[in-house]
Amino acid sequence: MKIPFSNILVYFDGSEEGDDALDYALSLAGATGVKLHAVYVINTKAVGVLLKKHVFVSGERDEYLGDLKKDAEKRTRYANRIAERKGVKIITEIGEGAPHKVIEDYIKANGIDLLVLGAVNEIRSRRDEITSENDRLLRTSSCPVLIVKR
Amino acid sequence: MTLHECLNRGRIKIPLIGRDAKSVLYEIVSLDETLDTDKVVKTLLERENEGSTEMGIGIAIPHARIPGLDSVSVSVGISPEPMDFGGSVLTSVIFVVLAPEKSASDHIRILSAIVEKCSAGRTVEALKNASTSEEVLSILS
Repeated sequence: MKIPFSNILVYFDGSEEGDDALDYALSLAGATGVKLHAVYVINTKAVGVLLKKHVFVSGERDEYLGDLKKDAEKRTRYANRIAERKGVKIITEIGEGAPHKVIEDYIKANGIDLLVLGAVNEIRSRRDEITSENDRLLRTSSCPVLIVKR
Repeated sequence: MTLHECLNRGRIKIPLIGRDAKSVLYEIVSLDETLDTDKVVKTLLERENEGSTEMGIGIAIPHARIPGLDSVSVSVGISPEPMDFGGSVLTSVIFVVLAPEKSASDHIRILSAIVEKCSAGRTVEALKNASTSEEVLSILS
């Protein structure tokens, strides 16, 4: 049977759900032999909103962004290491901005035909749908989406 | 990790008795008996001294990273009489968010979820008027 995808993209962000998605995507790429794109997105948009709303002060914003960058580097190193061990062809990238926008742009620019995401929230309100990046990507992605439940 | 997962009815205080930031933070932080209340309140106050986390709508989100925590926790206190929390308007609702040292992503996600929830005027009004923990959980779920 022909495998219906040739470029998998996994979105991760340092959360447990993102780590689940990354591990699953590495296994899926290993089993199917297709290329894996692993993109960690630093949600600078959310940090900007927290600053604007006075929840963060500027020094705190810089501190958290620095921590997210370190985390992104650490987790992409992990992805590269596991990919090498499994013989998976992998491209890792660290993006910044609103995750749903960064990921959609990446899908269009790189011919992605399967997006792997971590678990989505239990929807409790319309607002939850709007504010969860995974939920938004699930609904707006221009390619098929695979959700990795916890 | 969602805001709903970080909340539980044992960590909601209504009404707050104190009339200043230090007193109400003691009331809220002491809801969790596993914490070193003095130390956590001191850390929160040091952060507030750099700039109040009051958002300009009567809601403040004091927060801190606490060594030894396993996951992000959220506690809530509601004051029937708005009080001075150092912001531009008087404060009625206080969310205390405590996070492990190395969980920037989850910490930001929970802070953002609270900000998003409170961006709806009716949610803010409902929180200010809530009189039971169940009501608060219902409003935030």
